[in-house]
Amino acid sequence: MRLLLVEDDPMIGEAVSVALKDAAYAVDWVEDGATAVNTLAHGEHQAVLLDLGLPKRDGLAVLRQLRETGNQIPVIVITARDGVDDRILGLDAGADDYLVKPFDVNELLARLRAVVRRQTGTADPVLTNGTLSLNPATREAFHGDIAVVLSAREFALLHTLLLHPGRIFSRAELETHLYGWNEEVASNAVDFLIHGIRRKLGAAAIRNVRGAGWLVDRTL
Amino acid sequence: MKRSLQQRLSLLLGGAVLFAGLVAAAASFILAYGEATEFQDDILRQIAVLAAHSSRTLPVGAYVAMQPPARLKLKDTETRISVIRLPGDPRPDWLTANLAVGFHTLEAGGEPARVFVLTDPPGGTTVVAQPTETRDEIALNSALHTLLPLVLLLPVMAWLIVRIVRRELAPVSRLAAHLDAQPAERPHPLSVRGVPEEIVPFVQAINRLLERVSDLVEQQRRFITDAAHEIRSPLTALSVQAQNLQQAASPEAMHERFAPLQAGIERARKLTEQLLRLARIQAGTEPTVDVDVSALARELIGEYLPLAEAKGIDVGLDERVALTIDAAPDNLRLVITNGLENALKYVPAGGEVTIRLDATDLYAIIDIVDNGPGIPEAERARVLDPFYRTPGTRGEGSGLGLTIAREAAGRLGGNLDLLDRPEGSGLVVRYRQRRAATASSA
Repeated sequence: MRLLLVEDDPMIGEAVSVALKDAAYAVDWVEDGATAVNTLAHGEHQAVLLDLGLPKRDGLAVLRQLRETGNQIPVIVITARDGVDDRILGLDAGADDYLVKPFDVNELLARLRAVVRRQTGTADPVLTNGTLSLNPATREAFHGDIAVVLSAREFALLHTLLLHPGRIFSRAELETHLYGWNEEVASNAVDFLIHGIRRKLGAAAIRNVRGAGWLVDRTL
Repeated sequence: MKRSLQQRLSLLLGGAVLFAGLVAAAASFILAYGEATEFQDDILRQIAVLAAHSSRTLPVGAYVAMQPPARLKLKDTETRISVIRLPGDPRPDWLTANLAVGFHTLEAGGEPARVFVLTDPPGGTTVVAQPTETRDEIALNSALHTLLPLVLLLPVMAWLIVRIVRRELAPVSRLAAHLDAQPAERPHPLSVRGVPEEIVPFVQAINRLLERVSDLVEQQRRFITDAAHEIRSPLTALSVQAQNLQQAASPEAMHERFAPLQAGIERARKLTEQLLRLARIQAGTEPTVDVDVSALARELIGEYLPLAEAKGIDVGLDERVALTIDAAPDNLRLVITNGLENALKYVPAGGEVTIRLDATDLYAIIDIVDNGPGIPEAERARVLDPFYRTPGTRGEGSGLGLTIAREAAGRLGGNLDLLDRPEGSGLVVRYRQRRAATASSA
């Protein structure tokens, strides 16, 4: 899962990027509203963490423009403005959730999981297609009687597939979901991760379609 | 000493009325007394004339018959007027033969008396006498009667004065009560309705003061809100950095994550320090001394030289005059260091920062000149506001530096202005203070 972090404070931006990468997210970080709008137009990201006090373009303006252009990407607003009015303003402008600085990283991650889960239309925190299940909070994966904790990247890959059971992801698509702009991607990185997951959960967990890519089975 | 206008007015007016009343009373007493005395003399004369006349027209027997035989000398017990007809009546021993016609005051029968002597043409003499004591008593009584209305009037006047003074001063008491009821943090202006014309300017002055207080309170409130808000950023960074450190998977990662945490702590420390500085400037009154600005500038340049060199910025001094000014040293230091820090923050590598000391006839001038990007005209007023950062600049500064410089400058009694560098792009932070001390040409 790839996130866009929009934060003008370099120290906070840096620290939150590290925290998100630790939690197996691919993170791109931009520092102003205008760049955020341009970046999101490419559709590479699955969620946005948006600071409101931004140079060039206020966070609320970014949010409104996103929603006006029909972009449904989950947005969590992160801001130092904690007045009720500010929160209402943010949510009404189209934010999915609201987090006031200073925040706990674990709370940020939980809220992130929640907005992504709501995006998929399920209330159940455990993602599943019937045979294969994944708990985003613990990174535990279940397949048959096997229960195993995945590494960060393995989790990120399986998470991507399980968000859209039945959909085939190409290698390039998986790479964009898994890696940020500045990250080096080894040519066999995806194969390596798939191999790791199959070893832990069994070969049937992820199916390969020759020349097309990978998928998990559609929900029965 | 407490000066109650109401009490003073009541006392002064009451005193004035009392004094005037007493003078009037004394005058009317004296006049009435004199009048009564004259009136009694008239009565004596009339009695004498009447007695003389009656003795002439009536037969003596008829006159005597009118009087009780035992009281040959007519004597009224109240007025104690006695009438002596000579040669008919026996001559009292005080009545000497040579007593002239007219009024006399003499010793008669052991007490002083007023006597009127009238001679009749046939050779008779009529003498009418009245003791002075009785006369005085009657005169006194009648004079005292004229005082009565005045005596009754005085308490009424006093009561009226107190009432009137109190009523006329009531608007002032109302204003005071209204002021007392004001909340300190957001006072409402006083209404001038029903306030006497003389007090209106005073009320307006109070209202202007209230407005200034309101503005100041509002400014402080905003500052506190902003400060609380600003403190969140370093706190957020700290909290995330600490959790990152905790999450570090290896000693190397841990080591790597330690530096940002330290930077975060440094940033929080710096913000706290700047907030404290600002509070101290606003609260403090540091005594002023003669400050050798040239020496201070050299010291500060030395202090910032390592930072400037690390950033590749050339820092220097342009001492056009050797400057000594009368100032609070710590505040002056804050003006210059914050100007320097600001310049060093925004001037790119290869740039130049200069402290320039100059003086005109009226002012001592300390300029911190840089050849950085400068600040657009529209932004200049705002960059002096607390926590304001020029859009597009990296947001690590607290946004307090120039605010601190401005506040310190204000405390010093000078001004801080931001100017364009005339020779090209760049900013001049100018501190200007009226010259009290001498500034000799270098």
